Formats: sequence, C-alpha cells, structure tokens
Amino acid sequence: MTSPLLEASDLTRNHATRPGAVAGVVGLSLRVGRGEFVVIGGPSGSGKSTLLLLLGALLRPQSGTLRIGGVDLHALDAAGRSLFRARQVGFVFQMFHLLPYLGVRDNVLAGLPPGASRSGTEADGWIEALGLSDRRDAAPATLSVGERQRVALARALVKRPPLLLADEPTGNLDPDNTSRVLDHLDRYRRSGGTVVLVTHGSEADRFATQRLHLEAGRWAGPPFFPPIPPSTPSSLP
Amino acid sequence: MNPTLHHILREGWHSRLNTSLGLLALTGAVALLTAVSLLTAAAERETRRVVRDLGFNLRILARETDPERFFLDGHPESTLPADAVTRLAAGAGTFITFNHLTPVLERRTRIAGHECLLTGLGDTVVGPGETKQPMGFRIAPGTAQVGSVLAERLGLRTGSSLEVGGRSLRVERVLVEAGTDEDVRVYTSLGDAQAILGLPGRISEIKAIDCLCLTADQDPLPKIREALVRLLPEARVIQMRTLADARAKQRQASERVSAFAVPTTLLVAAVWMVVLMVQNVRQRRAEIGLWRALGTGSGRIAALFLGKAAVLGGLGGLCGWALGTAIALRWGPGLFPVTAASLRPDASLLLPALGLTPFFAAVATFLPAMMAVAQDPAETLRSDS
Repeated sequence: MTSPLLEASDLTRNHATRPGAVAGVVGLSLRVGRGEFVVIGGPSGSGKSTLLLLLGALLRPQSGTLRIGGVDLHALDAAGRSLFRARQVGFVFQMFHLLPYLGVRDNVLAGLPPGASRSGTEADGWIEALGLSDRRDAAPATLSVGERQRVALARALVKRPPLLLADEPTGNLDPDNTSRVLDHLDRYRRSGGTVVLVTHGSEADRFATQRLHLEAGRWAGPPFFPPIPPSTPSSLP
Repeated sequence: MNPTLHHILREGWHSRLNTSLGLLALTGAVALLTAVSLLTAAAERETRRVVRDLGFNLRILARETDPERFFLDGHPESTLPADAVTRLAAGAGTFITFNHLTPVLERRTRIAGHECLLTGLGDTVVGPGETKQPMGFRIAPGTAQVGSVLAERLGLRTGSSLEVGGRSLRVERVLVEAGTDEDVRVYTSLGDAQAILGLPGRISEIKAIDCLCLTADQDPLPKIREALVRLLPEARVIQMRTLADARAKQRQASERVSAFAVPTTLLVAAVWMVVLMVQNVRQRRAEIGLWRALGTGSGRIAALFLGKAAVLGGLGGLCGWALGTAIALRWGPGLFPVTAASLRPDASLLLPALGLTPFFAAVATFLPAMMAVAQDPAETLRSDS
C-alpha cells in the first residue's frame, strides 16, 4: 500500500432505528493509501453510508479516531473540520443533491472551497471534460439523471480534493451512465486522487485496488486486494 | 455579486411559490399589524372625541352657591372672579385632574318680551402643550348663536341682528332643535354677556372635564374635591355623575379593545411567521446536509437562511406597511366617521416595519435553521434533492 491518506481506527457509530434494532458501524478500521480506489460493498442497511459520512467527518464517531493526511479530524473544532472538508474531501451522492436553484456551472462552482478563485476556468474545464458543455446554464430539473450525476461529480472534483467519497454514485444510473461515471472516477484516481466508493452492486469492482464488504456494521471477511487494473496515468482538466 | 446573496436571490426566484407565500405571510402579518395599529389609534381618537362631545361633566361654582337654588335654576346666583380660570390653570397639577377649563356666565334674561337663558362663553384653557380642540362653541365678540325655539319666536335667521341688553349682536348661527333648554338659549362671548348682564369681570362657573381616568369602580369625586380645595379654595365642584360614568366606561371599553387587539395581532403574526419559516427550513434539509458535505461552515449556511428571511422581511415590511395603510385608509373613515380626517399614513410605523420584520423573520428562522444544521447529515442527505 502507498503511504496512507486515510486512517480510520475502531470507528463505532450506531443508533436505534426501531425498538430492538440498531444500525450503524461497530469497531471498523480502515487504511486507504494515496491513489487507491477502495470499493466497499454490502447490502442495504449494512452501514455503508454511515461509514462514508464518518470518513468525511460529517458524523462524529462514538468511539475511534479518523485521520486524513495525518490530521486528526475530530481534534479540530467544527469550523476547522468544515474548512478541512471544503479543501480536502469531495462527496458524490446517489441522490445527486444538486442545488435546484442554480444552473450547471453555478452548481459546479458551489463545490469550490471558501476563498478559492471563482473565475470559473477550473469549473469550465470539468464541465467540458464531463461532456456537459452544452448544458452549462441548464437547471438541474432539465437534466437527465446521468447528466445530474456528472454535474455532481464535477462539483466534487472542481477543487481537486485528495480524497473523494462516493455514496452509491451509480445507484440511479443506467449501464451506459454507470460506466461513464466510473470511468471518470478512475481517471481521477489515475491522476493522483483517492476514491472510496460504497455500493451494493459490483460494477465498480473492476476499478478497485481494495475491496471490502460490510455486514451489519462490521467487516465481513478480510480485505481483498485485487490486482490493480492496467492503466495509464491520466491528466485531468 | 456576493455568492451568498447570489444564492439567496436564485433560491428565492427558483422557489417562487414558497417565496411568494413567505412574502405574502410577512406582508399579511405586517399589514394586519399596521392596519390594526392605525385603526386602534383611530378608534381611540374617535372614542376621545365622542366622549368629549358628551360634554362637560364638572361644574366649578362659587363656594357660597346654594345647591338648592342652583339645581332649581340650573345655574348659580353667586359668581366667581373671571381670573379664577387663569389661577386654576396655573396651579400645580391642575391638568392631572381637570381639563378643558371654560369660563361661563349664565343668567335668565328677557329679549323682546321673551324669557330666555343668556350664556357667555370664554376661551377654553387646556393643559400646556396640548393641541386639543376647545369644547363647545367658540363665540366671537359681537356675535350670537341662538336656540331654535327662541329664534323662531323672535324671527331670527343667520345674519339677523339681535338687540339684547342695549347691545346689537349678529346672529352667527341658529342652532338645531336640541329638545333641551338649549332651544331657548342665546350664546354670546363672555365679554358680551358680562356687559349685557352688568357683571364685568365675573363668571358664574367654570365648566370642565375630569381627566383622572379612573376605572368604573373608582369614585373620582373625593380626589377632585381635594384638588380643588388646594387649587381654588373659593370654589366648590359638582360632578355630573351620569355623564362622568358614561365617559369613563366608554373610554375604558376602548382601551380594553386596544389592549386586546394589538398584542393578539402581534402574537398571531409572530406564530404565522415562525410556522412559515420552520416549514421553509424543513423543505431545505437536504440542501443543508449538502452544504455541510461541501465543507460550508455553519455561519454561511445560517446566512443563506437568515439572509433570505431578512430579504423577505424587508420586502414584507415595506409591502405590509403599504397594504395595511391602504386598508386602514380605505375602510377606516367608514368605521370612524367623526375623526375620519385624522386617519393618515403613519410614517412612524414604517421604520419598525422595515427594521423589525427582517429581524423577526430572521429570529423565526434561526432556531429551525440551527436545528437543521445540527441534525444528523445521514438523515438530511437521505432526503431527495
């Protein structure tokens, strides 16, 4: 493994969903090196999304530690965590979560951290790279689901974050768009980025450098390190 | 443009229905408050005028006045010096107890063989700095106002000449039939009456209104008498209790309505705004989760919501003030005909409308926005965008 970018140790976060039932994750540890593409599988309710939110420091664990780039996220105050996330972590969601009142370009610009130049050169580069040039000013409601996810991807990548967390990014897409989005994620990895992707499908397995499986909030079996697929370094916009 | 303001305006335009409903609610609330404030003030003005028009309820007489004769004749035989009014007005705390001090000289007399009442009215004295209209008539020297029965008997009309006590007076007005001794009365200026009756520098009484504003179950007479002994020892006071009670009850009824209407309206408007803002924040929970995921600080997320509330509050305050004023001006004069002319736009309500509405809308938004920011993003991000 290359030098670890993300180190999670003994993360536990659970909550009651209904009387007698508990959901979340229990005692999970994870090391992700720079340039890795980690795919975390598991059935619905196994704690995948909770884990992803914990890795992005959007949720505070009940126990355990989280370090990204050597920084202990929960040693920072809330403002410090927000700023760290704004600069270092990108998110992509299954439901896209585009801002419905902004056009494509403004949605992408919304992904820039505070203080970043908003000239738009970087955003335009990603819009073009993701095949959205002719939809630059379109409202999210007028986009296809594939286009929406590509906008969400551009928004996550526009700040060139070292770490990209993707929560079922292809869950609502057809096979063509699934393939396109995964290709873009792989290009990002090959350009030096790191991807942690949770999914209940197997489409992303071919890009994975490490595969993990969650069952009821715990790792099921040891991590599997498939041979890294042959690839050429990619240059991004 | 500032990105936060840009997002506020874009979101407002995108959520036109929600924005319009929010603006409508704020406008409605402010309009309601403005209209109620203007109409309540109008109701109080109207009540004061109506109550004032009930007439004087205090008669300040010479101390030696014989009450039996006074009630039988309807006016006192004894007189006071005319400067009693100025002395009373100059006393410490007079206008806490008395107001509309009007010197009157009244006697029975005969005009062209017809017995009548001659009443001379002096200028009304009100409290320092007050701009109240004088009670009753203001009679210019050399003129008279004549009761209807007497005018008919003497064949008088407006502009006629009236000879009384060797003085010639021009009839300024023939009064409408009152069904009281007003119908056989001649009103003149105090100076003319003093000259006609041969009582220069004298008055028969000072008419006044009590302004203690006590509640209906309190009797103001002991306090009035105590004040008069101190202020004008040579006088005594008679209270016309029926008029005084009617006045007190009318005024208190008006005050009770105001005391209920304004806070109730304020409360309804406040609840309305809070409900609306809470609803708006609830609808945007997923957006809050997204901003958090993008690393946006709580301050900027709060600014997006509070800013929208403030922008809506400013617009709602302005529109509400204009609408409330228009409502009050449209329907107010019909409700309060006596003081209709005093019903005008009140610019002093505009400043609180513009300043407090954005503040209140932001406060109403603050709690639900902070709750949403503090909410588990695993929940908020599960909402569809």
